[in-house]
Amino acid sequence: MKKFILYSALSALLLFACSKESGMSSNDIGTTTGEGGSMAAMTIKGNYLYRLEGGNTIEVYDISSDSSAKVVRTVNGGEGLETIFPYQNYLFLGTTTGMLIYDISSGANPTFISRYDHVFSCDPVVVQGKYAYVTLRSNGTRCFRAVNQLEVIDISDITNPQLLKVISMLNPHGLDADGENLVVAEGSRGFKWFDLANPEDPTLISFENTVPGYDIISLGDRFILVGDKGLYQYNYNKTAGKLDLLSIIPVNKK
Amino acid sequence: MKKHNTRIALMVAAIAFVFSSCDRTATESRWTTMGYKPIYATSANLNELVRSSAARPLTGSGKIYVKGNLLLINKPYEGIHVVDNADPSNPKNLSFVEIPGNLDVAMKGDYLYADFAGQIAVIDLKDVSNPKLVQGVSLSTEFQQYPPNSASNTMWQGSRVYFECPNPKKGVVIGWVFTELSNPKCYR
Repeated sequence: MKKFILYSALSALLLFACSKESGMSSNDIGTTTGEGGSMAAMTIKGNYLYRLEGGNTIEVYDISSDSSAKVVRTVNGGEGLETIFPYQNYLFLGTTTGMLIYDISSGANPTFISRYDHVFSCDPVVVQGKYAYVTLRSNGTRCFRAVNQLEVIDISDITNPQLLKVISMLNPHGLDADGENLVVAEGSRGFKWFDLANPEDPTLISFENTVPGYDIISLGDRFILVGDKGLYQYNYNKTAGKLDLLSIIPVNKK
Repeated sequence: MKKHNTRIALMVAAIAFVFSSCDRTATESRWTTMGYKPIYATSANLNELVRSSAARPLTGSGKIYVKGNLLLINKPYEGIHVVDNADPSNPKNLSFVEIPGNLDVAMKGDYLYADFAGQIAVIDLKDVSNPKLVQGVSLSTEFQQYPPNSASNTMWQGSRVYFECPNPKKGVVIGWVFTELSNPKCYR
């Protein structure tokens, strides 16, 4: 009987641990962190906040006490650092010359793992599984080379990222890869929804050219997009091959 | 005689050319370049700046951040729109948290970490209608006088970083925007 109670207690503990774990991943519980879009220059992983400063520095803040953020380290990351994306124990930095990968398993001390170089452009990056998706943009004041594209990069060997595929784009900004969906904001030109059934080969499902997109966050069966016309939320309707509009908060330009 | 006329004509043309090139130089002195523009506030004390105000209509694109039912939309250099997104088909624009100069935010628990003047301010957002600043930021004299010496931005003008000279009459400098400037008189 004693054993039975012990087992019950143990399994209850296990169950509790499991449900807490799943709660963590859905960003819903009080002590957890939220989720930024791919344009973010700041992110939280565990007790540390990582922030890009001045285009060339990764600052590490200790936020273990929640109510304070203290710089514990600054890492020189080279030039042109623009965006930061956390995935598992890694930080993926979008820079004007490529993508940098840092190991943050030690928390306070990001260590450089590898880099993937491309032509000069502006480029956020998101990661899912063995693949990184990077957009390169040339339009705009700071990014002057004539390249607008989406790149699929194989990161199964994290020390040696390899370009797998290039998809031509118009004016790509933020993007998000989530399960079998990839959405890519095309700036003033709209946004695109790709099928990621084959994660190496995103295939275009639809191009919404009337809704400008700047930043995107995908949340499972739906996503949030912000752009010059406002905040748009959609459900992925894969079976119908279309997006179902949930709501709009329109922009009010003065 | 004919030769002489030609010479005079040439001289007149030459003088005209000199004058016209002077004109051109004058026009060219109104030049543009990428550089930094100060963001002003009424105070450098964040306690006096961070506050919640009535919901504002969205006015343009900014970065987004999601935490649970909260959806935060940055309004570049002004603060964040706070949206209750418990029902994505009926999001409610709740309020606006004023954080001048802010571009990026992240959250852990009830705490909002916001970039301010190149540093991090921490704001308790437990009650979104009453945000409490729990960690302020002190601004260095250098920050108030010079923009960040960013390596990636110097390529525009060699080693110079141009900026609009801060004007104390407009307030306190609490941030810098990298943008196109015409005729900047200050550089570092």
